[in-house]
Amino acid sequence: MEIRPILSTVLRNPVGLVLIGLQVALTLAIVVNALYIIDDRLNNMQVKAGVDEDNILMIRSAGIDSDFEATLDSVHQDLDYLRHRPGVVSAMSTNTLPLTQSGWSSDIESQEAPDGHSIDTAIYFSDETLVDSMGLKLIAGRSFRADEVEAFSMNDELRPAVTIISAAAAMDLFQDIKSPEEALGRRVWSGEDNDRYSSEVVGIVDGVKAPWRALSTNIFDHVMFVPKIFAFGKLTAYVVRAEPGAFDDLMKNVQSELAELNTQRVVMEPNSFQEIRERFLRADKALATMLITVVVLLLLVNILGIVGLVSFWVTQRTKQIGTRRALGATRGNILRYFLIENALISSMGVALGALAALALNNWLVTQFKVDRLPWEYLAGGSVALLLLGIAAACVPAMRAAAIPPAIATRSV
Amino acid sequence: MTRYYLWLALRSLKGSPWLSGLMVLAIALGIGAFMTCYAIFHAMAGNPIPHKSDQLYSVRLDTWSPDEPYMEPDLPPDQLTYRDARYLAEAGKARYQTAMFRVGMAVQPDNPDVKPMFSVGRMTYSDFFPMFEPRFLYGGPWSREQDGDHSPVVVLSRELNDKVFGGENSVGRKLTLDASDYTVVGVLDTFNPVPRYYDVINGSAFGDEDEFYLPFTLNDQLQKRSIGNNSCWKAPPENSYQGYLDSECVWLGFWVQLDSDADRRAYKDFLDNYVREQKKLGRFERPLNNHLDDVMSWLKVQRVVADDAHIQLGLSFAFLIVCLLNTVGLMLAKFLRRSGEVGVRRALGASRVQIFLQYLAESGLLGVGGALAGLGLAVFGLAVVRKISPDIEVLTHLDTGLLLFALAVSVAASLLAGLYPAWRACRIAPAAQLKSQ
Repeated sequence: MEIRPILSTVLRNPVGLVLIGLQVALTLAIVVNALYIIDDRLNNMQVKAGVDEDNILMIRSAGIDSDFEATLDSVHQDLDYLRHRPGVVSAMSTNTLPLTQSGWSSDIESQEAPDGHSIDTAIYFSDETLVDSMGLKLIAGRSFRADEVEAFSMNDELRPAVTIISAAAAMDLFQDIKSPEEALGRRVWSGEDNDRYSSEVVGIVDGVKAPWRALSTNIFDHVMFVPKIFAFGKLTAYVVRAEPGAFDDLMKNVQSELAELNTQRVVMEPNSFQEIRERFLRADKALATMLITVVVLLLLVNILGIVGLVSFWVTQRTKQIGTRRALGATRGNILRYFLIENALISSMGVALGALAALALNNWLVTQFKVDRLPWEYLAGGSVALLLLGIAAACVPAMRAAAIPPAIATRSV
Repeated sequence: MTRYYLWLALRSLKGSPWLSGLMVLAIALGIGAFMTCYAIFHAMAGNPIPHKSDQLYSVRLDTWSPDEPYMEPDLPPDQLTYRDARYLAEAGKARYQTAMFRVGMAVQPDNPDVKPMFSVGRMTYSDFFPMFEPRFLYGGPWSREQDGDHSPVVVLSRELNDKVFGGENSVGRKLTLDASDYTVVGVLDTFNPVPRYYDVINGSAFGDEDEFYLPFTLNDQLQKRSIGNNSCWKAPPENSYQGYLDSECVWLGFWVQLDSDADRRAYKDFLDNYVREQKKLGRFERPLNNHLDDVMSWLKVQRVVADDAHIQLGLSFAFLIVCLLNTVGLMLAKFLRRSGEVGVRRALGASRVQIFLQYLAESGLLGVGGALAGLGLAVFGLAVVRKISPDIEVLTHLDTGLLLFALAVSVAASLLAGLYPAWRACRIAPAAQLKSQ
């Protein structure tokens, strides 16, 4: 079977070529770019926050008619209650948790002299129970000591004497070290030119995440714990970690229990870490779901379109097929004719589609900070679409092959 | 004549239910996906206050560090420092102006059956109300005099009024916030412009509305901090609340209403002169970089329409195109299959135009069917979006305008798809068809 006569047939009636070719081309362009974005979002959804995600919750409290001292007393009372409550592993006051999308951040530097290398880092308020309360992985050094923990009023400056940082923050800040453990004992610098201060790194924790991602910096992996009790005005928050199996009971009752402890404040509804995580990943999940739906439907529409058009051509050419069969063409010849015809059209579509995919990707890259498409996606997508096209053409092509030669002798 | 074409079209569609169903399905899938994305995009990109969006301006002043811009390329901070916001608010150079920030306070209802609750409100000037025009259910805004007098008054949202006062007219009654009493002067009707353009920085642009409004000047005693964003490039001059107010930290929104172009230019000059004066005091170390953005450009600057929404809209539109190409192919197959029928009609005297119109009517009918099924899919799609992202619930509604738009897009698209197949059908030579019978 020669390709040239098929090609000339296709070119003589280019409507089919244009319709199927354009469909395949657009489909390829959309599908490879969508798959690339889907992969990126599904990857985001695998994020590990570096805390005991299944067993921790956050609960906020707002004082009513209380000054800073009263708020602090209330914090101590709450913590004392929570830490002795059955089913609780540990609890501490904090400002925020990973993935909450809200919190504090600051630039920290590696040397006393300003203009040294600096990174952007999230700041978590914590105390000596830090490792147990959040379920962190301490890979070097120690947790805070109780005597290092101080109260923090909004009008204070942060200036902690000691700090615990994430391994990623250590590696990105101190660029001369080979492993995060080497950051132990070093100092983290902040402040203005004439007023510098530093904190000693006493511990390194692994894998803990910041409350948010940022496009321009990798703050998501940069975390700095400070030994301070947090009371923002009259607002505070606790992270409470439950024993395995005791979480649901804690989640259900902790709000009313704390509310009874001190009625001069409002205790808000607790958020389980899973809720925080779900909210954090919502946009990723929404986009991934939408794009997966579009990709599936797109492939379906394509298959239906190819089956429909090839069926039409088969019907249109019934007499020709019969004639060819009568002149000695085998069923295989007929089947091959339609498959090759379709493969020709599809490959032209795929070639055009590859260009369109790159153009679409270029638009996404310049407008929306999407990364450049790896060539594997394009190659894989092209082959897959080509095979899909041929498979779809098989159904009507087999029907064509089944046309008996006798049909040529009839007039209809 | 049209009725006859429609009758013919219906008959023809019934004659090949599978192929017709396939075409309606293709159009419906395309329209469904596109409308789901378009509805969200449309709501995000909508003008929340069309009659005066070009008279309301957000003010930005470049108070940031001399070493680096707040954001590349050389953009000023999104919010103002307390001293600048307070000065501009009280200078009163525009028709209306207000500084504002969000606060969290504890509400203690008198009714012992209602538990104390934490509530988020806004400290602002009385000009907020004539500027942004929320509708009042009861009472009205406080006055400029009350701003000056530090009057302990409050305007409630409808929701908070429902919770605390059971929805009654509470004007004149007392509301206790953080253990102090405030007199209710007004209750708003539901006030939820989409996007919430006057504050897209603190909280979501599509999030919950503020539950109460207090005079900004009351903060002299309350000494609240914003529960929204606060950014500092330099430590406060002293460690006290006053030090914070005097600092270069930015945490307040500032809006003005300027009715004409001349007003806008005059206000810009006023801002520039203010900054030049301040430069003499050693502040504003960056080059003069003041911005006045009206509502729509402010929403653009703040990228309120999420990148994801653009991507979804673009890809769903491309999907719609693929569905239409598909429909063209299927229609071609369907129309040409009936070549014999066309031949007979032509031979009996139908003109080409009549054949063309007959087939176009058939594609229009497919478009209507596709639109109806597609809208069903869009309603389903939006329900799925609501399920996944309850926080953008306000963006997931189809209004009459959108329904008509979907119908128009669908019919126009299917007519467009039907053009070529109908043209091919009307070009069928009757003789060739009749001969072979």
